[in-house]
Amino acid sequence: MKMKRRKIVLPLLAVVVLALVPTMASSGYVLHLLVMCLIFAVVASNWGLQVGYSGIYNFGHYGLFAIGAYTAAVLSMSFGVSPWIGMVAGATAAALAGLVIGLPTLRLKVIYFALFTYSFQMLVYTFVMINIGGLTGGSEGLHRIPSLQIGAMRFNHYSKVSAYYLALAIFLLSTVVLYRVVHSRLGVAFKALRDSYDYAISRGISPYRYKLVAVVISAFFTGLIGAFYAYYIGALGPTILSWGILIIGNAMLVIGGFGTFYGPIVAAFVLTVMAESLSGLGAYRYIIIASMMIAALLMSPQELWRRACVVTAPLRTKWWEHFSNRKRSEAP
Amino acid sequence: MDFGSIVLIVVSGLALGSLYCIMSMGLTLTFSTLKAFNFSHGAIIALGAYLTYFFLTTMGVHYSLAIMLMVVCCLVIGIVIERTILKRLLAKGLMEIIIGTLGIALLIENIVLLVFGGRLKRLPVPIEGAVALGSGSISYYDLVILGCGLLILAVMAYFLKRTRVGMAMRAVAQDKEASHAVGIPVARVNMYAFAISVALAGLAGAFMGSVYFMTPSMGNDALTRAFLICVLGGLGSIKGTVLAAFVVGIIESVTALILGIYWTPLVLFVFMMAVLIIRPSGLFGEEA
Repeated sequence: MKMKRRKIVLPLLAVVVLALVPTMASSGYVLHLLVMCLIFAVVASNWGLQVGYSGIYNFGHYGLFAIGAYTAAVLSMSFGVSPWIGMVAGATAAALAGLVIGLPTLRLKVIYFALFTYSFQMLVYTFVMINIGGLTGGSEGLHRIPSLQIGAMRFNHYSKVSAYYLALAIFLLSTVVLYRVVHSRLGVAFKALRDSYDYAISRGISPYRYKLVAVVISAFFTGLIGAFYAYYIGALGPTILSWGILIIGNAMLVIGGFGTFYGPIVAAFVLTVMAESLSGLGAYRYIIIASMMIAALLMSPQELWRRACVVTAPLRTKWWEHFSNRKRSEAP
Repeated sequence: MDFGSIVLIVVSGLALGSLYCIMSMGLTLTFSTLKAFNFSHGAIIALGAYLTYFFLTTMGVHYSLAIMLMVVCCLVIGIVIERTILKRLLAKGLMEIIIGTLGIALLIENIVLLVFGGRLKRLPVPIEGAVALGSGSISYYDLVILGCGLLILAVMAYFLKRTRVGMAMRAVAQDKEASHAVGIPVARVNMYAFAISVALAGLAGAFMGSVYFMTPSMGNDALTRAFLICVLGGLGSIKGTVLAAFVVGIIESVTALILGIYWTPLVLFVFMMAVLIIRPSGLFGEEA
């Protein structure tokens, strides 16, 4: 019981801090950045459910995000559907898309699935660019997407505080559901399939069915946050399917660590803030991010730590060595 | 539809197919020997186009010399990437390789953007003019690409079947451990295979730069096409890749004529889905 309580304290503290941010944040820019962090945290953690927990190498995840966003935006703009229904429609469309691409392809070998989903994302991109019937706006994108509102209260980038709380609510919903999934029989099945595929099958776990469930759950929340993104920004373009965003999304998983629950979420916050703070550098921004990613892949955290220790060894004084030794010997 | 138009579709489809052939053969070669899928292939295609542009316009050398210089540069770049990054990624997992090569792609793309700028550029076409065929015409340059594609195919076939290094590559592709056991330097063979794959990508870029416009991100589209072809042909099967490249080329030119060029990605995607449902490891892939 004590173990469980300790596990819940830190996330609860983080939630409280996040909930109190609008009272402390001085500028709208900080809030906007945090909303983007929350959006990418949802995307990354749902992607993590597929890649990290279930071993599904889905490279079309941003395609699902775009499907959610475009479904919502097109429904609200061209067909006058209420944005709240648009959110549900976006999420449902993404889940359906996950089902449709998952059904024929999840039986394939891992590498084929990865390539297939990658081309799926490119297909979504092409569809947006073709601009059938002027619905998706092509390369110019969509502007003046109506925003979510209750009465006079709007949830867009002009009223950031309310938008922030809505984003936080979606983030919490997604995270709690993911947590429940990962710590249920379903999650155990996912992990069994990832870690010991043949044994899991021999114990009667259907890889196909469980992988499909994982894809559909994660697609649903990705579509939901995609729809929120469209309504929040109020504009949408094919840049959400760009190479750079795909790679930063990948970096969130790598740096956060595969198969960890909070890793991708924390990495999403760190990388979104970092990508934003480097945005003045133009092409150098992606060069820096790409170099960091490659370095992170080539050297494991342990190795980086060991090297840091070697470099700083002459700087560390004797009392620190003594202190750290004593502390270690005191531990049970 | 008259006979001339059918010939036109077939010839332009074959020309496109041979371009795709050059584009995707390197990818298949890397996959079969290194067992790694190289997501930076597209960026290297763009790099090849821009290097050719650099040698042609800035240095002002002859077209054939520019291509040769570009190939040499690509071989060197391939060796450097393999030695410094890819070799270490291979020791890790599939996900690490994919993301690492994505990182390399991002790096190359933005370096190209930094050096050459983002404006649309076009490589000069070495041979102007066209042959009238049926309702349309086919340019001499398309025929040159078709010829070059077939030539490169023949050279690659000779290299893989007859030379020592080529045979070593096929051995490594079949069984890495056994190749180790009979004394094949697997690491070095991997390096050669990757360097050749980079050079092939560069060549594809040089051809593409004259057919389409060049942008630093031109490789993404090419990469998607090359993936599709590799998957259709069965990963790691060179024979399958070559066939799939021509099949895709012809499908594309037929679709472009009947439905319009925008529909080709959808038609190709549906075709790939259908093939994968019937044969989960591609047209010529080994059974799973």
